Amino acid sequence: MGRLTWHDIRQQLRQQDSVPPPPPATEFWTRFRARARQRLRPEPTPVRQRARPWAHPLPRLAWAAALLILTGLAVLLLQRDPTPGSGPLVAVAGRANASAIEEIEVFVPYSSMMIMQDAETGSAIVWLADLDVSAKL
Amino acid sequence: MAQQCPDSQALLEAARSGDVDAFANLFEQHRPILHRVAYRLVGPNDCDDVVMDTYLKAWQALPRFRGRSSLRTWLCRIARNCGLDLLRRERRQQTGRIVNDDPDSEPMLDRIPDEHSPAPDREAALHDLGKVLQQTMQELSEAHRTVLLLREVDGLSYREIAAATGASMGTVMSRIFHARRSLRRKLEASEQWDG
Repeated sequence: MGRLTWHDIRQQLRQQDSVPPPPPATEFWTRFRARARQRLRPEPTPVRQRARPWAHPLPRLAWAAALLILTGLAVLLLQRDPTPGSGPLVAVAGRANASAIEEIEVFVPYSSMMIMQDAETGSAIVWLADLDVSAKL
Repeated sequence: MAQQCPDSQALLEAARSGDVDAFANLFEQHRPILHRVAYRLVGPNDCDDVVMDTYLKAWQALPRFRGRSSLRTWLCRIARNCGLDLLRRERRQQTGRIVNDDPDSEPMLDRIPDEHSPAPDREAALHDLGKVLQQTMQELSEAHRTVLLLREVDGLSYREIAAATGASMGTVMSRIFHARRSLRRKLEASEQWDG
C-alpha cells in the first residue's frame, strides 16, 4: 500500500474508538443541580485578597530588616574579588533542584513542544512531537 | 495563572460565588472530554458517575481554585481522583477489580473495541491496517494504551494526560514515545508501514 503516516494511524484509531457520547446536557445538569444543592460549599476566598504576611504592621519591620540584610550580603558577595570556586558555588547552590519541564503551546493539532532543563547536567532537551505541519487535518 | 477570556472570567467569578447556572455554562464545554477521560480510566459502566462526582467536587472546591492550571487540567486531576475513589470502593466490594496507587503502574480500565468501523472506500488496505492496529493496541500495556488514546484520539495535552493519569510529564512523554514506537514496529513487521 502507499505511504502510511501517523495521520492515517490516528484516523484509524479514531474510527475504532467506541467511546459513547456523554448524556444530554439538560439531563446531566438537572441531576447536577439537584445534588449540588445538598452539598455545603466553603465561602469563596478572593484571589486578590490573599493573606500577605509581610503587609501586617508588626512583622513588617522584621521583613524589612531581613530584606536589608540579604541585600547587604548580596552587595558584599558581588564586591568580593572572585576566588577560584567561590562564584560557581553560589551559582550552583542557587540552581539546585531546578530541573523543569515546560510545555510550549504550538498551533499544529496533536503536536507538542517541550523544553526539559536538567539542573544536574546543566543541559536542556528540546522535545518535538508530531510537528508535521504538512499533515492533512 | 492560566488565562481566561473575559466572559469565562466573569462566569468563573459568578460560579465561585455560588451561581450554579454560571458553573454549568462554564463547565459544559469540558464535559465531552471529561467523559472520554473517565471512560478511559474506569470504563463504560462507571464513567457517568465519575463525571458527575468530578463536577460535584469541582463545584465544592471552586472557591479555592487559584487558577494555577487551566480548568481542564484541574478537572482531569479531579476525575482521576474520583476514578480511583470509585475503583477503591468497588475493590472493597470485591468485584474483582484491582487498584494500584503507584502512578507508574497504575491500571487503567481502558476498553478497546471488539469491532471496528468499516474501512474507508478509498483504500481497502486501510481495512487490514485496522485489524493489525486493533491487535497491536491490545498488546500494549494498559498504561501505554491509555496515554496513547488520550493523546491521539482524545487530543489531550501532555499536561492534561499527566493530571488525568497521575503520572509525571516525563513519564507521560516516555509512555507515548514507547507506545508509538511499539505500534510502529509491529506495523512495520506486518508490512503496514511504509513511512
